Order: sequence, then structure tokens, then C-alpha cells
Amino acid sequence: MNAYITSLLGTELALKVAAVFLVLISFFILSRLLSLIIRFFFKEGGNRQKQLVWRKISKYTLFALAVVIVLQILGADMNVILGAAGVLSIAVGFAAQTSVSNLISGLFLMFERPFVIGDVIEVSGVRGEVLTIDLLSMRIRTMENTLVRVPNETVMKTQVVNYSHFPIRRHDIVFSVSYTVGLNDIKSLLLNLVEHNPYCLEEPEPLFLVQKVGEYFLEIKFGVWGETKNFLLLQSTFAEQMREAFIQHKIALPQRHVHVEQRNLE
Amino acid sequence: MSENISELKVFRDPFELPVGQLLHLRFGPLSVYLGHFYQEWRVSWTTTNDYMDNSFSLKAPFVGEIPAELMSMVRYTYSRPCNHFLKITPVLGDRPFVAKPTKPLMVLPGETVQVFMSIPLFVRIETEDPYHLLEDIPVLQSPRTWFGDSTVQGEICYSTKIKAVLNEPELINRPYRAISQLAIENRSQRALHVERIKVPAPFLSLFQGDNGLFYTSIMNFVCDLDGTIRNVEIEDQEEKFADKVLISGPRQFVKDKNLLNPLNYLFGQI
Repeated sequence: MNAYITSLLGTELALKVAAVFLVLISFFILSRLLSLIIRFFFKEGGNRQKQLVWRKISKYTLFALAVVIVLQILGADMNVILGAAGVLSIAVGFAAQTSVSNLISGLFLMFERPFVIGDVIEVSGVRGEVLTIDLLSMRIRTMENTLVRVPNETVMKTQVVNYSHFPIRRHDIVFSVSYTVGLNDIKSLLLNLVEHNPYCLEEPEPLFLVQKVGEYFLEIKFGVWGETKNFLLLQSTFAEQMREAFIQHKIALPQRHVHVEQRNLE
Repeated sequence: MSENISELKVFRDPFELPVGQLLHLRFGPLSVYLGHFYQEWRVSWTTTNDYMDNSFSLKAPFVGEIPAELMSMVRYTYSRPCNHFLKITPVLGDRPFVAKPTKPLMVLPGETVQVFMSIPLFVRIETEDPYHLLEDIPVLQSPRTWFGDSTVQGEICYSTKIKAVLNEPELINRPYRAISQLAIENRSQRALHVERIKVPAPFLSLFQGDNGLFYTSIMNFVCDLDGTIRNVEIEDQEEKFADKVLISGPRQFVKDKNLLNPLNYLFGQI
């Protein structure tokens, strides 16, 4: 047995296997080291998105480099391999059009950065927090804590709404009141609610707009500003406050009045 | 309950609270209960948010029970019986404050005006040996506001509620607030229109005068001859506050001077 191993170690094949093994180990260590450096470098700025992109780029580049070196060690003719790869890529390209499209879209998304990891976005009717942006798809955690995978191509093709981009947002409430309600009264009532709601910002000033004069009602739009991170709390608490204030101050909601006249035909 | 401001000097030294005793601090609208138990501190607090409340009292030991309806109650535990000493320190807020004058000011060319603002404090509760920060509580839950050129660029700040004034005596002495002074020097040829002023509280130090009142570092703002705005300069050197005692240093150190720009201004033609 020992004699067999000794003869095997002496062969060219054994040396090649050892070299391949050494290359793979080296590239694996290099990849981990580079990943750690990238993590450390981007930790300072706290940019998870850039960290993810550079980690993926370094990982795939090193992988490709390792494959080329391994093939060279094994004595493969690179010209033949490159030629075959060209033909193969055309075939694979036809077969995997969607994947390639997703891949290219993914690269665009990573560099264009319409949103970053942690943002709350809405895409293709899905609303939630961006968990990852990978080369083929992105993952979104919805408000109901479900995971949705959205292909990058879909993200590139459709409208994306980013709810987290700016630090403040306006919450618009549209409601109708009867003509009998004084507009100044309702405005001061709403401004008072803003003053007492901890999630409302004093400035920018709230918007008060009569946007429609209806048949038997006035349609009012009231916009109040709040911090993006507290937006849901603002929506919920303000609606509750409004309801209570309207009941307390007997704000008349619009009702259609129909006058029926009964005549004696005799 | 006392409104004697000189009693506020009590914050300068650590308190001793043996095991089994309670402490009650009333600092304006803030009410804090501290309990020292075997291997733990218990901290409860609430604020009425009544910014007109000027009361101040410190009872140690406090005899009575901690009210159940407080906003927060946290137990800080140790692996061994903890030190009897703790420090209650007033500090400036964790965000800037925005103050408005009653009506916008026009600082005329060549003039330097002093503007005084009153900003609510926070209270920090710390233990010594080993050091631990237990709580960092706002005395008043100030409303938030936006300070910026547009809804896209700016920052979230607290609103002071109390108007900025040109004479310090116009500010009512409130124990739980600090007086902040800004000098605006207009060297340009045009009047400087000042609507709102930002007090960059996290970058300022807090001092206490002999009268017990709190003061922040002084800020200087210069509008140059060519109309360019120099960023605010903060004066907190000890020689400038020789008659005052440093209570707490700044929370943050200035990395970007643009963060300090205290004015939301427009140039007005007179």
C-alpha cells in the first residue's frame, strides 16, 4: 500500500491534484479575507448595500480566476475552452434569457441604487422592507412578515415607490363635511390635533385645502407632516384623534337632504 | 414643592442612596423615582409635558410608594450588591432645538444682535464605580419640527415652544431649561432676515450660574461683507464661563461645521 502511494505521489497527476487543491484553498482564504476587509471598510460608513455589491463582485471574480488557473494547471487548452465557452454562452444565452436579463437588471439596480437595503418600497403591488438585493432577484419582507422574491427584471420594468427615501413624509387625509360647518372652525380643530400629536411635525406647516365643492358637501384635504419612521403611528393616531374630535365637537358629516312634498291631488 | 432656583445646585454632587431607599426628583414637568434594591436600581419616570411647570424638589430618601401609572419602569441589575452612589446630571438634548422669534427679525447691515432662547433639558442618571448610564430622559417631550431649505434636505429637530427674545430678562427663569445665547453679526450690505434659529444642542456644553440657572455655550454667527455665511462658532472655553460651573460637556463633537448653521434666513431689502 505504502509503495503504491509513494509511486502515486511521484506522478505528474498527483502533483497537479496537489496544485489544484492548493489553488482552491488559497482562493478560498483570499475570498474570505477580502470579504472581511470589505465588511470592515464599509462598516465605517454603515453602507450595507455597497458592502453586498463589492463582496459579490470580489467573490465571483476570484471564483472565475480560480477556475481559469485550475484549468491551466490541468493542462487544458485555453483557446479551445474559450472557443467552447463562446459557443456555450450563446446556447446558454438563448436558454437562460430571463436569468441573463435579471442578472443585468441586478447590476443596474446595484449601481443606480433607487433604494437600499432596509428601505420600505412598493413594487408590483408588493409593499415591504428590502432585505437583500441579489444578482437575480431581490427579497422583500412584507408588513405581514412574509417573504416575497421579486425578479430584478420586474423591478427594472415597473414603477417602484420608495417610502423611506426622505426623512419626512406628508400624510394626506381627504374627508367631506356639510356646508353648515365653519371652515375656520374645522381648520383650527385640526391644527390643534397636530399640536397635540407627538408624531406630527410643527413644520412644514400642515396643508388645508378645500378641493371640491360638491352637491351637498365640501371635500377637504388635510396634509400633515411626520417623520418617515413614525408614519404608520402618525396615520393611526391622527385618525383616532380626528374621530374623537369630530364626535366631541359635533362636526356634521354630509348627508343628502331629500325634500318630499305631498300634494293633495283632489 | 419649591421653585427656588438656587436649589438646583444639588445636581453638582453625587447622591448617596442606601439599599432599601427611594429617591424622588421633580424637575419641572418631569417626575423621576429611583429605588435602590439589593443588586439592582429601579428607575421610573413620567412627564406631564406642561411646559409652564416650574416646580423643583428632590426627596432622598422618599417615603411612599412609586405610582403605578408611570410611563416607564426599568430594573437595572448587577451581579453583586451595587454602589450606593449615583449621579443625576442635567444635559442638553440629543437633537437640535428650533426657536422662533415672535415675528421674523431683520438684522440691519453692520449690526450685531444677541438673541436668547430657552431650551428644555434632559436628565442623565449614571452610576459610578462601575460607571453605567441608566437613563437619558427628556424633561419635556418637545414637539418635533423640520429645519431645512426644503422637504428634501434638512433635519428633524425639537421645537422650543418658547419664543426667542432679544433681552435675556424677557425669558422666564424655568429650572428645567437652559438659556442659549446667539450673537448674529451682519457685516453685509443687506439686512438679514431671521425667521427661525436652530440651537445645535448636541454640540454645546451646559453650565450653571451661581443663581442656579443653566446656560449653554455661546454661539456666534457672522454674515460676511460679501454676504457669505460663516458657520456658527461655539464658545465654551472656561475663561468665558469663569462665573459658571460646567455641568456637562457636549454629546457630540463637531465633524461637519455645516451641521451648526443656526439660521433659516432670507436676505431682505430694507
